[in-house]
Amino acid sequence: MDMKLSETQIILQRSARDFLAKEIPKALVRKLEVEGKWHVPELWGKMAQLGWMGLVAPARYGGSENSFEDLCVLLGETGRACLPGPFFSNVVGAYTLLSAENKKYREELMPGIVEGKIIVTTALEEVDSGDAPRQSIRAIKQRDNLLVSGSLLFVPDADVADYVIAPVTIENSGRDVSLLILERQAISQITLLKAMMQNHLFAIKLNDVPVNPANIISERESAQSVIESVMQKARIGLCAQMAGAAEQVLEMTVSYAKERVQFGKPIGDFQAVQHHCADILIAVEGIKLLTYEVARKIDNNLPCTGIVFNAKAWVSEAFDGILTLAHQVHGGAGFMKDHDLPLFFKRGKYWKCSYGNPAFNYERGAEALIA
Amino acid sequence: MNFGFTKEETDFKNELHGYLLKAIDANVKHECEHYRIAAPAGPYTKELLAKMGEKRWLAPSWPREYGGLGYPDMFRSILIEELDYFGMRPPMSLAIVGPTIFRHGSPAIKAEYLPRIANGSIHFAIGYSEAQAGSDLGGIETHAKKENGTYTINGGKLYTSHFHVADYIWLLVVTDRNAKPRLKGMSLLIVDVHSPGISSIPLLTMCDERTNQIFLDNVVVPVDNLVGQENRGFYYLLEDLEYERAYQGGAVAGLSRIMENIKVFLNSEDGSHLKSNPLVRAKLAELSTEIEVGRLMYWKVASMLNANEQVIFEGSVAKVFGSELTKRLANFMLDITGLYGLLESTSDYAVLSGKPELFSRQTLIETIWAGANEICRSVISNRALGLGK
Repeated sequence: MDMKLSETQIILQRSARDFLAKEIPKALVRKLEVEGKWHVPELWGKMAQLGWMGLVAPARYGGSENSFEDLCVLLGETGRACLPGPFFSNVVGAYTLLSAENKKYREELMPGIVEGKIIVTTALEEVDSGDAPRQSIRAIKQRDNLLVSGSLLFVPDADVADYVIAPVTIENSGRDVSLLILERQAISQITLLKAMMQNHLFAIKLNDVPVNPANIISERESAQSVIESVMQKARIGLCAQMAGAAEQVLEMTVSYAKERVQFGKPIGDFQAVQHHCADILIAVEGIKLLTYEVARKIDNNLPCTGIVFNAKAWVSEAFDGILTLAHQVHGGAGFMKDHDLPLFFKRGKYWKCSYGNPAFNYERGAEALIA
Repeated sequence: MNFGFTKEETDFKNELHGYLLKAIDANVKHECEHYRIAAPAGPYTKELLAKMGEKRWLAPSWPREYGGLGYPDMFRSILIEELDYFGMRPPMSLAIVGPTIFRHGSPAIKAEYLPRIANGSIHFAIGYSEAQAGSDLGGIETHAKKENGTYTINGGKLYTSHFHVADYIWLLVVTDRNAKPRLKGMSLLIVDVHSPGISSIPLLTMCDERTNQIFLDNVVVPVDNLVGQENRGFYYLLEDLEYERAYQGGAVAGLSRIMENIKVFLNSEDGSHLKSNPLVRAKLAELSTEIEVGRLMYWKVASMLNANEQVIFEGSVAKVFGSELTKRLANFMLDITGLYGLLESTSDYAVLSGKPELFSRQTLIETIWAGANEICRSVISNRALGLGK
């Protein structure tokens, strides 16, 4: 057993950390948020040059065929940096293209994705988050076309994505969904959702949009298995971002406990504060171990249905707990808008709700345990 | 034990409730919801408080000469609970400033400020914290030098909420730099916010609530603005702290209001799929019970004060329990509403009026202010249990 990162993973981690610290310091992240911006095209170009968009893509598309675990290392760094922009959406989008049976779009789009010239996002939140979907899109056949209508919420980065992959119910298919790829321009309406100071969640709306049936990239039963496999990676990808973010929050909190003097000594000299910091460390260790264990299972195609759900739930609750403690140690300073801690707080709440809240994920995890 | 209210208390509670139900319009509600620090956040709430002042409801337990109704102290606690039910935290003038002036102020200071506090025409910002003095107020540096019948103040304060809407600052200053311990060299001064030499910059919290950093550069006030005796200020402040803690944590009427809204949500179409979920039901029952426990902790402190008993640690008990409960309730709302709960109130798709996301941000500070819970737990273990003395 060896629970350390490999040498190549350490190199990837260090270079990503240095790059992000230089290119997108927290002050810049906060500034972008205040200005309502999220995607930074220049930064995107540089990330593509580093090969990040093609990290796990097959070589024939220009990718470097790294493992999902390696991608998790990189996602950890984007989590640590509170990286704005569609990187994660694009990861989920690319995995969806790679898993779907439709070759045409995969062959057409993957090279552009790897080069950083094409961004693909997905609208999968409402299809697999536990809530009975309140919004949906439907298609009816009309001559050679499909006529698509409806709306979907919580579509990340829909404003900058070139394509959106959305679940769609085709007439007479009951509740089964297929996966439809849409050019952004084809979407009738894209509206920013004002959601806890994030600038990247959108509602999309389609009003009787004619779509070529070839845009269905995966149908019914196979679409279900595509969604399941992509969602496994998406859920653990969220965990990986939390793992990196959690480590950074621990470091910030411990330095503050050492610097901040009250009652004539650093607050870290008080046992109450020491115990908060120790509890954060315990949670960080747990998050990292569980995340990488499950990532490894996914890489090796080991059975992991239940543990993926459970890990998503446990990690996001543990991360929430870390933020509560970190805020407690930072006191009033951490409650201010211009501090770094709220960046992590907001992302934590989003990560916790994304792809199902803990109760939903635990329920699905329990199903796998005692089916 | 008697957990009930007298007939007079019940009548007052009902009258207030009926009045506030009508008087709190959308503007007041908006100001209170988006400024959980304390009332008043803006002109609408100020106006409402002034109207309540006309009815002598703001300081019901003060004598009539100061604008009150001469009722027992219990009526103050009823007022604060009712305001909390409607989402309004008590103004600092009523919770901290007024009671201290009432107990320790000279006849002249009482005559000057109490009637205007009671009629809701003046408001105070609290000037305790400084950059290096948060939990440890013994560390404040702002200094007031006495000469020729005036104090000249130099220094600065941090997180001075309300400065931008208040008429006065309730300022804790060092008046004796040689005092040992330092807490014996501090005094409370009343300072007009428009005094020459005061400047401020706004600070925004992560809920976009405005607080302030203020700078005091040779600010001169008459010695008559000293509250009580010189160098006793910190001890005056301590007297109210346990009550402040009781209502900050324990005035949970606002939480029961939120719980009512959660039940409405669960009975609605959007929430109906959660209503039969056993995890949701168990949590709902647990939180409802905890809200009742928190309420009782608040009323224990209120009844002690009403009987003129000294509150030693009981406020800290209510504060630790209530503030942590508040955060649990905020988490519960977000947990059951998921991504929809992250939507702000202005979104077309918001559930529970956007409360889940806003409340989860706002409540973060509640385990920190009014004595961080770590401090409160030390208060309990020292004073109630005799540990670590």
